[in-house]
Parts: sequence; structure tokens; C-alpha cells
Amino acid sequence: MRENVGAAPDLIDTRTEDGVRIVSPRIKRLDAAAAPAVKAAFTREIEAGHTRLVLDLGQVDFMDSSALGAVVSCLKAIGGRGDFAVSGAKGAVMKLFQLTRLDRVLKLHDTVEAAAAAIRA
Amino acid sequence: MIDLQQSDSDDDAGLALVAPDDPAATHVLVAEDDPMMQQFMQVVLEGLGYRVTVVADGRAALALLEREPINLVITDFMMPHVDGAEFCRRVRARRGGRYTYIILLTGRQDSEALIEGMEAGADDFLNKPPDVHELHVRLEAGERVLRLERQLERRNRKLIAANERLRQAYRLIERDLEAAALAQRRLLPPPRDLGGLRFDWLFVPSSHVGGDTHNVLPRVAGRTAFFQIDVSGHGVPAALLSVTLQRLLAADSLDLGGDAAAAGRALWDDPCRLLAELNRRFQTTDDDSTYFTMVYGVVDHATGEVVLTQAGHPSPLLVSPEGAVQVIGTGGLPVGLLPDIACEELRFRLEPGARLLLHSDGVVECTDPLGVLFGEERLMAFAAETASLKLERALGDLAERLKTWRGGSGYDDDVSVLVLEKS
Repeated sequence: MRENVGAAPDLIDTRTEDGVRIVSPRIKRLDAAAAPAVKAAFTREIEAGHTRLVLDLGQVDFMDSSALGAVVSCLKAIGGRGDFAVSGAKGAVMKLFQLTRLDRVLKLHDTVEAAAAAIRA
Repeated sequence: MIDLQQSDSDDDAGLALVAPDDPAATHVLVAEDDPMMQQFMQVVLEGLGYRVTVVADGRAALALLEREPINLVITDFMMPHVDGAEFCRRVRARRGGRYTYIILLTGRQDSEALIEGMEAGADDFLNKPPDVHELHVRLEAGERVLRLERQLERRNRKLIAANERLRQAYRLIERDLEAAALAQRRLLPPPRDLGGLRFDWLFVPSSHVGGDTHNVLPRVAGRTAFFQIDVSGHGVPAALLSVTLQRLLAADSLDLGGDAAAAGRALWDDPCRLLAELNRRFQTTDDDSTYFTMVYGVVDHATGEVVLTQAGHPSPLLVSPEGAVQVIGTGGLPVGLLPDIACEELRFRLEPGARLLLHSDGVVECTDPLGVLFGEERLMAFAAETASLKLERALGDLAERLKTWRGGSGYDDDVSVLVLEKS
């Protein structure tokens, strides 16, 4: 019932770097409880008119299927209207991207800076 | 529906009965042995509009409290039989029933009596002989306390009733979920020997129902289709899609609307085409981002040839009778996430005595109390160690191993394992 406790909006930082909006969940376990908050944060950014977005997963150690669904829905939400990249995926998160072949669909970068530079170009 | 915020209207109705402007409703008991004081109190209290009963000592007062619903008592300190302090102690020792508000009458200089009386449980005190106005306001204070107590008691009763309704609703939901869990489990195939091919499985949903499911479906003589599915998310929403998929795939005709004749291969026998068809049908939307991962394959009993496809599902393990473990495939897009799904057919041979182990991510992502994942390496080592054990025994051991790994708590995710073994 209190499923979203772990996903309070203040656990997701947002900032702008040179016209690129960076969304950083400060959540170690990105799971079914946290996924809706990430999705909602993206929806807010897109509605606010941001079209170049980086999802920074640098602080995420684990991601489950619901969170993966949320990442893909972020990608779809931006669609052709803008650009979307993911940074900092590592360990179990990177493995999940590889297993689901999303490493071939998403623009993955090691750092926020690299991701931001790639979609700025 | 359950409404905890029920109106307090009958509280208000209760208040009206004992409203200060209607003190006639309030019955005051006076315990006093001095006839002069008895008379004084009777006259004054009746003048203030109270209903009054006077008794001569604490014992008589206690007896009266047993018979009549009186909650306001004025008692003298010095009395025969049971004195004021003892009266207070005995009233406070009573169990159940409503609160009794006690005002103690003491001599003007008798602070010892005052302290003893208050310690014994008196709520307030008055000097003798009491000033009429002071008596009035102290009685009113007592009535306020009693009113509060009555309100609390009423609210308490309501909470208890609401709690009971919640408990009943919870029981109902629990029963429904148990029924759903049973229905979901009944869709799983009983482990058996299909002639040249045996299979068995392990299935532990994280809550009553879950998104994992699997089946083994003999299609034509000597050719059997099999699948394992893990719907994203947990609980009822995942279970609904899981049951739909199970029904669809287990249907004899497997009529998915594809053009079976044109391809020369029946849809059930063409994993990639089947996958593409499922992907077309079960695309996620803005409202519903539920998708699923799957391994779908077909095995030939005689030759042991397997053709399978892996859609975002953990890689199956191929276990030789000697315990050599090989990971089959490296991944694939899950079903329903994106409109275009590239599909690879993986082909290999199941030698006699070899096993093909399919597992959902709930197995490798099963964490111990410190958060350490069970992991693919441990699962591979386990498959190797148990390669020579009977299938049923090996799966039983795996169930035990995972349970021990969890350290007593339930699973965060559905855990399912399906093993095919060539005879």
C-alpha cells in the first residue's frame, strides 16, 4: 500500500547543463516502487519543454523489470521531438541493458558529461 | 467501502444529553456522614439542578455505584467503614465500565488528607464547608472530563468497528488472492515424462499471484514446445497478463492471427515468427507499460535438437550429464517494449541425460539479508553439482538453497525454474 515510499520526488535531482536537462535518481535500487517517480520526473521535464534529456544512473546499483519499462517509456516519450541519453550504467544495470538488448537502442555513456555532450552535438 | 471518517454526529447527540444547560440529567452521589453537611449538600446541589443521592459512608457509596450508573461523586474524607481515600482506591481498582469522577471534601487545613486522597485517585477536592460557586464550577469541570471520556469511548468503539471492517475486507481480498493463486498454479503443467523427454519445475510467486508462468506443450508426435515467461512488475497486474499469455500459448490451435500456411512452418514451431506476433499484439502503451520477457523453444524428443528464442529473459543453461554448464544465448529485446523486435534463433542439441534449465530473473536476483544477489554463477555451480541427481531432487535442493539464501523472508520477485531433461 505504501509502495511509493522509497520514491519520493526529492530523491530525484534535476539540473540543466548547457541546455541539456540531467535527471539523476539518488536511488540505489530502482525497482517497482521507485519506477513511477522516475517516469513522473521525466514527464514533468518533457512537459516543461525540455527536449534534450540525460538519465543519470550513476547512483543506481540495481534495476528491475518495472524500472526498465520506465526507462523505455522515457525514451518513447521524448521520441522524435528531442534527444535522450543514459549515463553511468554499470554492473547489474549494464547487464540488464545488455540482456534486453537495450544497450543497442539507448545511447549509453559512461559519464553525465559525455552523455550531455553527445546529445548537444 | 470502508470509511474511517464517519461523521461524529451521534457524538453531538450524546453531548446534548449532558449539556451544561441541562444538568438535571446528571446524577451526583454524595458520601457524607455528617447530617448537617448531608442536608446542606442535598439542598445546594438540587438548587444547582442536579439529581442527588446521599449515603452515609464509603461502603454504601460503593454498593450504590454497583447498582446505578453514577459517574460523579462527592465524598467526605473522614467516614466510618470505608473512608474517602479507601473509597477512591476501591473505585479506581474496579475494572471496566465508565470513569467515575471523584471530588474529595476535606477540612480547610488538612493537607495530609488532601494528598492521601489525591494519591488514592480523587480527581479534585473542595474545602468544607464548600462555597456554592466553587462547588458549581468544580462539578462542571468534572462533567467536562466525563463528557470527554464518553466521546473518547465512543470514538474508540467506532475505531474498533472500522478495524473489524478492515479485517473482514482484508480476509476477503486474501481469500480471493488465494483462489487466484490456485487458479494460476493449475495452469502449470504437472511434471511428467513425455517419452524421451522429461520435465519438472519450481514456482514460487513473490505474493499470492505473480507474473511468472511456463508450460511444456507436446504438439505433434515427438515435438514439444516449451516456454517460460516473466511479466514485468508483480502481483495482480502482472498475473493478469501472465494468465492471458499462458492461455494463448497453451491453446491447441495457437491461433495468433499469423499466416501459418504461408511460412510452411506452424506458428508454434517457428519461435521467431511467434515472438514477432506476440510483440505486435502486446505493445506497451502510455497507460500500461507492462511487458514481458520470454524464452520460447521447440525440442525434438528423438534427436534432442532444440530451437529457441530468448526475449530479454535470463539465458537458459545447458547442463551435460557430467555437469558441464553452458550458457545459451546472450539476450534479446523483451516482448512489447519496442515495435521492432530483432529475433535470433538459437539451435543446439540436448544429449541423452542433458538438461535445459530455464529460469526467471527472480532466481539470480534473489538477495540474501545483506543484499547479495544469488547470481548466475551460483546457479551454474548448483546446476553442475546436481547434474547427476534425479531432477525432482535437484529442484528440491535448489528450492532449499534459495530459501536459505533469503534467510527466512519471502521473495521480492517470482522465482521460477523449468527444467527439460532428455532421457
